[in-house]
Amino acid sequence: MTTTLRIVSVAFSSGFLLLIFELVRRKKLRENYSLTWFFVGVSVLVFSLFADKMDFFAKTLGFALVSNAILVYSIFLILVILLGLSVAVSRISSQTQKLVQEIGILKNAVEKADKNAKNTGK
Amino acid sequence: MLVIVPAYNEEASLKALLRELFEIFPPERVLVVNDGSTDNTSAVARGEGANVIDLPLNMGIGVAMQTGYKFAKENGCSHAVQCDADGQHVPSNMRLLADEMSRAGSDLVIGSRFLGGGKTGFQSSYVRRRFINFFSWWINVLVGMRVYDVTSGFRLCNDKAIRLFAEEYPFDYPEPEAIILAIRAGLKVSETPTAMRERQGGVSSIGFFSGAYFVVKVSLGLLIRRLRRTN
Repeated sequence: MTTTLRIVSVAFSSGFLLLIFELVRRKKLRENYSLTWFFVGVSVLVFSLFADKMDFFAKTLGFALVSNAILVYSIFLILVILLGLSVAVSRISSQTQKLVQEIGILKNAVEKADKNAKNTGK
Repeated sequence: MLVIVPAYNEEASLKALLRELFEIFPPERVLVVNDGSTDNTSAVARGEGANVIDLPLNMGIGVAMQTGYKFAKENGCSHAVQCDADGQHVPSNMRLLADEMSRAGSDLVIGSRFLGGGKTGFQSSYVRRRFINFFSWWINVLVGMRVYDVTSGFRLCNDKAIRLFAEEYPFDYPEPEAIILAIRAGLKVSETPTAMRERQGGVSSIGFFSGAYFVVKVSLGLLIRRLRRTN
C-alpha cells in the first residue's frame, strides 16, 4: 500500500467516524444502528494505519495487495450491515401492519359508540 | 356471520355489489375494509350503510383481509365470507359455500370457477389460468392436495379458520399461500363450484410487470410455508 493511499484511507475513515459520531450526537442515528458502522470505520482506520504489518496476512489469504484485502473486508461488512437493515425494515413493517389494523378497528368501534351515544341521548 | 370485502379504489363496482349483498345480509354484517383508497370507496360504502373500517395507510390486500379476520375474531363471529370488491363473485353463491362446508365438514371452503358449474362463468385470461394451474400443481406437490382455483378470493371460513387468519395471514397475493397455511395448521380445506363474472369496474391489482414478482414471490412463499414447522 503506497503512502499516499494510506494517507487518503486514514483521512477518509477518520472523517467517516466523525460523521457517524455527529449523527448520533444529533440524534439522527440511533446508537444501536451506529455500532456496526463504527466497527467498519475503526477497522478500516486501523488496517490503513498498520498496512505494512498486514502484508503477511493479506498474502497468506491470496491477496496481491493489502488495499484489496481491506476493500473485500469492507464489502463483506457492508453486506452484513445491509442484511441487518432488511431485517430491521421487515420488523418495522410488521409493527406498522399491526398498528394500522388496530387503528382501523378502533376507529370503527369509536364511530359505533358515538352513534349509539347520540341515539340514546335523543 | 360476517362478509369481508377488502377494497382499494373500488368506487366503480362497490355500490352494485353492496346492494346485492344487502339482499342477503343486514348492512352491519357486511364489513368493507377500505385499504387507504384515494377515491371515494369509503364514502360510497358508508353511503350504502355498510360497516366500514378505514385503514389509514394503503397496506395491500393481505393486510386489509386480515383486518377483517381480526374484526371477526374480536366480535366472536362464527363464520366469515371473503368477497372481492370488484363484483366478480355472485353473492347468492355464498349459499353454495355454506352447503359445501356443512356437507364436507371443512373449516375453509373455496369457491372455484374451474369446477363443475363454475366453468359456465368467466374463466379469466389464458396467461392467468396458466399461472393458477402452476400454483395448483405446486401446492399439490408440497402438501399433496389438489385445489384448482387457488387464487379465488371467494371463501368461507369457520371460527377455526378465522382464528388462524387473525393470527397470521400472508401479504401480497395472499390467496394461494393462505391455502397452504390452513392445510399446514391442520384445517380441512375443500372447494366447490361457484360462478364468476368479469370484474364490474375498476382495474385489477395485478399488472403485467408485477407478474414476474407475483410468480416468484408466491412460489417461494408456498415453499417456505411448507418448510415452516407447525405447532
